[in-house]
Amino acid sequence: MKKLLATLALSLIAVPLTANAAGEQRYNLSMPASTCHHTGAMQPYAATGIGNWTGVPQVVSCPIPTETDATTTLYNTSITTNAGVSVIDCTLRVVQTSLNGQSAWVFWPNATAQNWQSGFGYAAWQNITLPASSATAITCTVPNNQTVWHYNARSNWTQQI
Amino acid sequence: MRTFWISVIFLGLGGLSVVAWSRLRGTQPSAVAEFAAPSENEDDLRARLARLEHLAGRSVAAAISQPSNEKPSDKDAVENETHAEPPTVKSIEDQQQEQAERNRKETEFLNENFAKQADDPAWSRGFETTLQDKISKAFPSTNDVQVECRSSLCRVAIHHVEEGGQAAFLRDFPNHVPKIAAMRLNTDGTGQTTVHIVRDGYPPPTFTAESDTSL
Repeated sequence: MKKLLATLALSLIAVPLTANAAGEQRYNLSMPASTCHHTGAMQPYAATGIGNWTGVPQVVSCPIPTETDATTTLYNTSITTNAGVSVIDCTLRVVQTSLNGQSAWVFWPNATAQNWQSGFGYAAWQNITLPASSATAITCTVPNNQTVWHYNARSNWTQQI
Repeated sequence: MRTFWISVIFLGLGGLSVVAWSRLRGTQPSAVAEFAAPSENEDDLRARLARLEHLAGRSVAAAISQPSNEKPSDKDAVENETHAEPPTVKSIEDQQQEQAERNRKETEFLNENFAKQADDPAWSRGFETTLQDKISKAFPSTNDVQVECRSSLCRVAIHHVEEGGQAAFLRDFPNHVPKIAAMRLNTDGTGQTTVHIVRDGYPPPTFTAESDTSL
């Protein structure tokens, strides 16, 4: 009986909680800025943030994992910075490269929200349709002597299988 | 008495086992034969033979170029399926050639879109200057640059002379453009880079199969 219950429990765990009958999958990702790519010698700060003490402005680029085999919709993508970073300088960039690498489209969808609240900067993009074989990232210019101490990128996207 | 009844039960079970085994042995070969060779009666075989003779009397070229007006029967469908060519898998070279052709057509499509556009000098002259400045500052070794803007599209053509100059431009140019909606970078393998830039707030021209008039 114990073995049967254990098997049943394992089978319940293996069921993807976010899949529905229509073949859609939803992901809600929250990632620390310390995992982002960056120029110069920026340093991780307070476990999740990343700071710029290099003396010159630097660029941080946070990749958003998406499925490249099919068209994907990013329902909501946002980034949080500290007030010292202008969220106007944060852009969502979508790059679609041709299979032979001879050409590439680069898109910059307009942000739907850019504001500062309680010492935080916040930028958001909604309902962005990504073509197949594309890569997406949020890119921010971080001024000198500014610390991005809490820098998160959230995406909530659905992909038709 | 007890031993007697136990013996009777065992003998009965043994008899039943022998009967069951013999029945299975007898039916198995026929079951296999049924799966291996579907039953065909004589009429079916005659009809198929007549069809084969009919096909043999026509040349392959005639059969292809002069499609029969007869409605294909289910039997024809089965025969066609049996003799269908296996699906061909495109080689990597073929796929790359197709992609190169598609790139060329999309570039032509964007060039045509650009050529058809009316000029908006209130925006285009200033944006041309901005792009020239950005390129000359970010890529000082690049000296053969042509920039032209219309109402919502700009076209930048650069001939790279310095080795590695093209790769550096393709990698870094998106980081140096002012606020725009989109851009398409294209290389043709001759050291020439063509960039189509879409003005902020305007939709990029969409290249589809319908856009390709040569198809």
